[in-house]
Amino acid sequence: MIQGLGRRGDPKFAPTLRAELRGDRHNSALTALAQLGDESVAAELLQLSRSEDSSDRSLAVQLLSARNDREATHELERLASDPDTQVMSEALHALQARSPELVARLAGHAVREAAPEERADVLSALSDLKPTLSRPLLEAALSDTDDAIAVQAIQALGNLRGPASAQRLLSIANDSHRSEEVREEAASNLRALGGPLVRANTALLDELLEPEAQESFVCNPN
Amino acid sequence: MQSQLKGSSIWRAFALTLSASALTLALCGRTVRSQKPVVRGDPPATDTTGHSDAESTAIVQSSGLRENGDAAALEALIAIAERGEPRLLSGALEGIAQIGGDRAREFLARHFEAATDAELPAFASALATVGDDRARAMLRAAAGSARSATRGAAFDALSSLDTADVREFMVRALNSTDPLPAASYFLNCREPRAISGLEQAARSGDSDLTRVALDALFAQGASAEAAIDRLLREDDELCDALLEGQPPTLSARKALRRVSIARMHAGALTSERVFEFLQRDLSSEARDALVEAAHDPTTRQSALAALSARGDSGSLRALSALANDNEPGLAEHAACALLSQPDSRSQPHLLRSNGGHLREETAAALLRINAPGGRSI
Repeated sequence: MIQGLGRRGDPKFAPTLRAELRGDRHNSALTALAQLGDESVAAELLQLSRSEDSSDRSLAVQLLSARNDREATHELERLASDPDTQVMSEALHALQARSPELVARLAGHAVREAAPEERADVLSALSDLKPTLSRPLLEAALSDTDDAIAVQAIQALGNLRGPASAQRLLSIANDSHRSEEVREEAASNLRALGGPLVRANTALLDELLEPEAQESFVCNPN
Repeated sequence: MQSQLKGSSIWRAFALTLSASALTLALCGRTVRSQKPVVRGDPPATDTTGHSDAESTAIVQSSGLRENGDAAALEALIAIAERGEPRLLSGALEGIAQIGGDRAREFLARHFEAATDAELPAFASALATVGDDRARAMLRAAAGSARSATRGAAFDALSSLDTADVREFMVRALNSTDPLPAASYFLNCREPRAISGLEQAARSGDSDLTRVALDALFAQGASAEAAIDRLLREDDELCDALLEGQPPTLSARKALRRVSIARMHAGALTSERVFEFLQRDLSSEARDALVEAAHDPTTRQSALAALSARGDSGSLRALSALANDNEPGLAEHAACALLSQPDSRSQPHLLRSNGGHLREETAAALLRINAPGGRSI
């Protein structure tokens, strides 16, 4: 019912919703009040964003993202360093248009400081930030001593495409200090990108990879 | 003349509202609530309101109406609006707004804040119709509301106005945390002061905002060329978004062409946008770039498809030449592309390749354009 009242978007239900803030349906009431722009929401949101429950903090990110006041941005900035990967990632995504420099700094910090067993998750959660923000993260991850992280970064770099990715993939494929697995992954992703860099380095790619299978061509003009 | 027009449109809105009211009441089977009478000059179709003849006569004869039609109409419309019938509200509010004045504005302002999400657009639109300094100030204030539905309705309403204060407000709103509605405003409004804000919005990384900001920049014409040029050099994602738009000037088109060809040469393209742009750009430079890309196996399909879709005779000749290339992989793909959209100009090229390994497909294409050389039906 509370969700229904929220969907109705009628300010005259605000007192009913405010009363529900004290009950079990706190989060539904808060969501509905936030949509109504109710003034009581600011303090409640602050409390929600400091909850010990990560799903509460995740909801706080969602509700704060829809607000355009300075306090909301400030709180999102705080949540961008949240210990929970999902909350941190959601806050960084919400902030990438508002504070790109801050997001670049916090995202870099999150990847660097993540525990070894969590680094892959953190990188995966942040790989779809806008390319100008995710590319430096992937660059850093390419140097990771854990090959699994480096391979993950290579694949994400391949998905970003572009000449800069191709150049970086070539440098890894060429790097004899890297493991065979990492070099092969880089070569494979580079070959998929195509372009002049691939044509100029066919010998290297052929050395690292199986020859490309020639698919038989079927013309279907209609 | 203008006041006559205004008067007649008020009556039209009012008649429409009353007709809708009558229909609603008939459907609901309720008794008609007494309304303040409304008629000035020729009475509108009051009989459709459900009033009896006697009531209608009383309404028409009301001295208040005859002496001050707008005021009476306003009160009647306010009474209808206050009933909150969703189907009547919009018409009633528009009528109130067209009558205008302090009473109308105050009524709209008082009810705007308390309106439901569904009602907000009609109230905001009515305030925009009133359109005077105070109504515009109310809408500007509402555009900063903490309630997103209020903000959206206010921005939509302000978008229908082109006054110095609204332009100034929209220019400033481009630097707010949600610049999308302001960017949308400049899709239909040329304003040199908006260019820097639009350029910034284009860099936001939010795909919707970027799209709207770029379209708004294109809409600014020649004055935005320098900004477009800067954005083209920024990053591939932004460049892809720019290639989706319609460059408004020759110079902008040339800049997009130059960047597309350079990216084609650099390879590892981030998306199909470059091909889509070169397909639309019928210049010989674009065609030559596509021919070159057809030689690279990773871009071959896209390049040939773009050449085929261009449909100009130069591209047709280029495809025909590629179909006879020494590289078998290229030749068979190009020959196939030549068959995809045949028309009468394709005939000589199709006849030339009719003896190749795509004989059946070529014959079918010749039949499609009713050219001799295809098999008989």
